[in-house]
Amino acid sequence: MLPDYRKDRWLDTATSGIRFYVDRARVRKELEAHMEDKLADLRRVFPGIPEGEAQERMLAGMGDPEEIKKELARIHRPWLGWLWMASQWAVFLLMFTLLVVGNRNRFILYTSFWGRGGASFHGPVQGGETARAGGYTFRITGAACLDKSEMKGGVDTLQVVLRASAPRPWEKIDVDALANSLYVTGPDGQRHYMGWVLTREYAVEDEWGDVVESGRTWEVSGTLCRWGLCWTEVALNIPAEGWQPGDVVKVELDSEVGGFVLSVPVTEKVKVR
Amino acid sequence: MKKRWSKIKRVLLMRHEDFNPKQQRVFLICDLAFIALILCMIWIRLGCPLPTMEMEFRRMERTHLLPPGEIVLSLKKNESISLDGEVQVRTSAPVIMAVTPEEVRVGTKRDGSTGFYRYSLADGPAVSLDPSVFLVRDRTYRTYGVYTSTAVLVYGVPEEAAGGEITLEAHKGGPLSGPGFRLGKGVWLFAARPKASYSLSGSAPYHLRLYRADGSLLLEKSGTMGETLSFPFGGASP
Repeated sequence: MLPDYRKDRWLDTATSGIRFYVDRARVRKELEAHMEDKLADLRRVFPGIPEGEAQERMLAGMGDPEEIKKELARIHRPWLGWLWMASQWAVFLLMFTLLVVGNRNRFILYTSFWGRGGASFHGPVQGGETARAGGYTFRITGAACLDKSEMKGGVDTLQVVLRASAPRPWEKIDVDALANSLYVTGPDGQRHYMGWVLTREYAVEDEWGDVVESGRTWEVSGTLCRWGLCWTEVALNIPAEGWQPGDVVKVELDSEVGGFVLSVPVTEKVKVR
Repeated sequence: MKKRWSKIKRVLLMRHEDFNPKQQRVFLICDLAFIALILCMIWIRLGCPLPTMEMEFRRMERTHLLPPGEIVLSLKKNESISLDGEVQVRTSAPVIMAVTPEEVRVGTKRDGSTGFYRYSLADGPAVSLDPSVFLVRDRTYRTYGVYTSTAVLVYGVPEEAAGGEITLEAHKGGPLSGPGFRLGKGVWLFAARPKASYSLSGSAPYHLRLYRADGSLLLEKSGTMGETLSFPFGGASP
């Protein structure tokens, strides 16, 4: 009877050209199954065949292991397998990192692509006017009169949301720079600056007259509202005094790379807390 | 649902050698797509860093709705420059400076975040303290040996300037004064030398004098350091 190691040696030789161990194990398993099938066929066709002869015929039928080795080595590219294994490890490590980092900042995942700023969005506007400046496309996406609770000392405002779509995701507009270039004209014809304005300068002196603390207070009317992968929206607020539904509000950009005027009728009144 | 879950479970429990090449390729593509998505998220969270400082600077100009300025000085991180063999400066972060007829723009990158500062040239040269550029040696200056000079950057210096001097009003410790050295086109560095222990704020008052080659006074200006354009807080928006 032919010892088993002949079969193993044949399999080892035939699969030794496959450098990626996972593929090697899988092909070896397939070839082994194929050998078993061949043996079973031989036993079925020649019922009284001795075991040793059956195995010898089977191996002869399998062909030259050196030839098969060359063929298999040519077919199985190791880099693809290693890349697959590496990708699995990378996925595992990234998942682990995200789990650790995500525990500290659970917004890390979605705020990369979209999110909300300090101002809330009201009164969606469909198909508003568009304008282009400095490679950016601007469109008014929201306009509403915000009815703030007077009980809490809130003053009603007209809010217009301006979207700046960037040509590339990594070139989203700077919100402060945009606000500093914007003016909004209300229904009463008054023009309001949306950028940063110095509202207070203070200095605290000690009993000997030395300044121990000083500072400046700044305020801005254009604030970050929402953002997406390629766009940023700023909410622009002006006083709503004398507003009637349907009154038009004008948004004007005055920057070094160009300017535009967009207008939108404010029809909706929204109650805000 | 149960059937689908059992299918998912079977795939999850498969050993590596059970995957056929086609399945391997499908999983590889899925893995790579997932990795790309996560890396993209991380890149965006880091502020979309670009390969070079110049690219970052140009992007800052575009995102601030500004036309490109002429780059007059570009320094790498840890770059050491000797000025007239007297003063040696080093950068702790990459710095790029660009000018337009109206203003000077300075871009730096510290701790992964990009700083973008604009100084108006409407009233003559602008003066600022930039922590990215600092003095490492001031050879001719000797005091008690412990008080080091401070590097003050002045932008928009006229071409005909051959020398200069700056005096800074320190919060404590008396005024600092020292000579200026040309760093790049229109950019000068002044070594403000103290006489005693001092405390200097980034918005201290200054007095600047620039001289021609013949020694005559070219320009004299007083003001407050670090007055930036458009941003109250100097840096980029959130």
